[in-house]
Amino acid sequence: MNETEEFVYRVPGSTAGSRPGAHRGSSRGSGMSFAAHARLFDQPDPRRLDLRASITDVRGEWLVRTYLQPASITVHVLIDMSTSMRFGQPGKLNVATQFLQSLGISAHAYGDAISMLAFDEQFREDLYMPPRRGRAIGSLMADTLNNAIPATPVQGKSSSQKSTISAFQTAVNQIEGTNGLVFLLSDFHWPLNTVDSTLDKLSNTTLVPIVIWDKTEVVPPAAGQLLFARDLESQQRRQLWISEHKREQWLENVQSQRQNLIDLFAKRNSKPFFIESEFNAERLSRYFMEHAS
Amino acid sequence: MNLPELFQLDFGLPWVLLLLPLALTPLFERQRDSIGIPSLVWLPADTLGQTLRKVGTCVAAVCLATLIIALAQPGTSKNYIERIGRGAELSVLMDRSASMDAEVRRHQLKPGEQARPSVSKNQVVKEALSWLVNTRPDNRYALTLFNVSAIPVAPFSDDEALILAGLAASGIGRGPNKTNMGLALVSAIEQFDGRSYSGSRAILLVSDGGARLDDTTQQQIRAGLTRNNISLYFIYIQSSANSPDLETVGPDAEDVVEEIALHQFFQQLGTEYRVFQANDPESMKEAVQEIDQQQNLPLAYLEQIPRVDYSRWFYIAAAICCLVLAVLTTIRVHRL
Repeated sequence: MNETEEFVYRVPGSTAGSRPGAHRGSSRGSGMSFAAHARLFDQPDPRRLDLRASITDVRGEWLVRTYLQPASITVHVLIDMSTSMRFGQPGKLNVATQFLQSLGISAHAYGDAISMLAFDEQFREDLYMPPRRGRAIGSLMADTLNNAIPATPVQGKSSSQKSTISAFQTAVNQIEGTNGLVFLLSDFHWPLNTVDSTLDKLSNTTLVPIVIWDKTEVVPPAAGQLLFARDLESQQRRQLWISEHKREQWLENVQSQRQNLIDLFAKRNSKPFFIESEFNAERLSRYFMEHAS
Repeated sequence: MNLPELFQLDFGLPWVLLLLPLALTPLFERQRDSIGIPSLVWLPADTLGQTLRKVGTCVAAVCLATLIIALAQPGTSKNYIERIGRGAELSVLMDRSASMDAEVRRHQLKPGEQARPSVSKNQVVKEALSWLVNTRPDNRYALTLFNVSAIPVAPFSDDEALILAGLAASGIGRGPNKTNMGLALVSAIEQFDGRSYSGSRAILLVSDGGARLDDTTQQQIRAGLTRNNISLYFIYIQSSANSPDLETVGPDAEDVVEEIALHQFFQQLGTEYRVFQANDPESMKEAVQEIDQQQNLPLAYLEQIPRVDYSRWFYIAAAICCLVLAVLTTIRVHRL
C-alpha cells in the first residue's frame, strides 16, 4: 500500500462528549442540527433569535434556536499480537499496521483521539498508548507495533491460549465503561465461548471486530500433497494428506468459523469485518455506511 | 546370505557403530519439519497423513541406521566352503629328448607270440597318457616337456583337449640329446605353487634316463614336494637291454648309474613315491592304469573364502530408504 487511504467511520446514536468533533453529540452548542427552541432568557444569544417561532409562541416569549454540537469520540484499538498474528505474507500484523495508519489519518480528520491497547500472552504495557490526537499518531502506533519485540511464548499447550484470553480481558478492563468506537483486531483463533463474558464489558461502545486472516490459511493447499502442520501457539502437530475431500472440509470449516464469529457478534449488534491478506480502506468505509445508523 | 552367516557378522570399523544412537534423531520432531499454522481448528482430521508421517520417521531412522552399519563395513570373514575335489591334479613331465624317439624295448617274445610292429617310446607314452586323459576327464592336467630345459606346454586346466593337443604335438620333430631333469622337476613343482589344494597332486615323470642332481636342486625338489604335498610317479622306460634295472643293488651302483642314483634320491623323499618300469606298451599302460586308480579318490576339503562384505547391501537399503524419503518430501507442502 503506497499511499495511506482514509476511511469513513460513524458511530450510531449520539455521543455525550463535550469536546467538539465530527460525530453527533448530545450537548448543545454550535452545530448544524437543530435541537430545540429555548427562551432568550435562558439562552441569551440574540443571533439565534427565531422570529417566526417567537410570533407563534403562545406565551409570547422570545425564542432562540439551539443546536446540537458535534462531538468528538475516543477510538480504542485493541490489537491481538499473539504468535498466530505473525503468520502469513505480508503478515497479519502488517495488515494491522496498515489499518492503524489509515485510522490515524481518518481520526485526525474527525478530530478524534485514538488509543492503542495491545496484548499477546500478556497485556503489553510497553505498547499501550493513551488516547491522543494528532496527525502522526497512526504512524507512531504502526511503528510501535512493527518494532514490538515478540513475546516469549508461554510453554505448554493450552496455557498460551488461556493466557491470551486473560490478557485480552486485562486490555478490555482498561477501557471498560467508556463509550466510543472500539476496533478489535485479531484472527480470533480463540475458543469463542470464553470471550463472550469479556465482550459484555464493551457493551457501551460501538464494537467493530476486525477479523484478520491470511489467504494462505483460509485457502487450503492443492490436493495430492502431504501437510505437516504445527499450531504456532500451542505447538500441537497434525499431519494430513490433502485430498479434494479434505480441501472441501477445510473450506467448510473456515466458513463455519466465519459464521460462528458473525453469530457471536450479532448478539452485540455488531458485525465482524473480515480482512484477507490486505487492508482496504474503501471496503471499511462501505462497512460503516452499511451498518452504522 | 543365509542365517548362520548373518550371525557371524563382524565389522571392519566397529567404532563407527558408536554413532548408531544418531539413528534415533528422526524420532525427535524439529520445528522446521512442519509448517506453522495459526490454528489447527479448521484443519480436517486425517489418519492417512499421520500414518505417512510415522512411516517417514521410521524410514529416516532405518536409513540412518543402515548407513551407519554400512560405514562400519559389516561382513563375514570366517567363511569356509566345503568342496569335494574330484580327480587329481596331475602334472605330466615328459622327457622329450632324442632318446625318446628310439623304439621301446620289447620283452622277450614268448613262444607262439607274434611280433608286433615297433613303436617309438614317445608314441607309447603318448598313447598311454592320452588314454588316461580320455578316461579321467575330471582330473586336471598340466603338461611339461623337458629336454635341455623345461618347456611348459599346458598349465593346469580342465580342458583335456588342450592336453591331448599338447601330447600330440610332442611327437613332432626330434629333441636334443641332452636332458636337464632337475630343472624340469623344479619347474613342474612350481606349477602347484599358489594353487588351492583341491585334490591329490602328483607329478608324472616319464623318462627313459636318469640324471644326477646337484645338492641345491635336490633340496629344492625335496622342499617343493613336501610344501605342495605332491606324490611323485616315475615311469621309467627302459630303452634297451642296456638300460639298467632300477632295483639293481650294488656297492657302487648308485655312483655309477645315473638312473639308480635318481631312484635312490626319490626313495629318500618324505613324500609318496612310486616307480613303474615300463619296457613295452602293455606295461606302460598298466603303469598308467595303476596311477589312475591311486589318484581317483574324491577329496573333501574346506576352502576358506575371502571376507564377504555386506556393506553394499546396507548401502542399497539406505538408498531405498532415501528414495522413500525423497518421494515423501516431494509430495510434502513446503510452504503455504
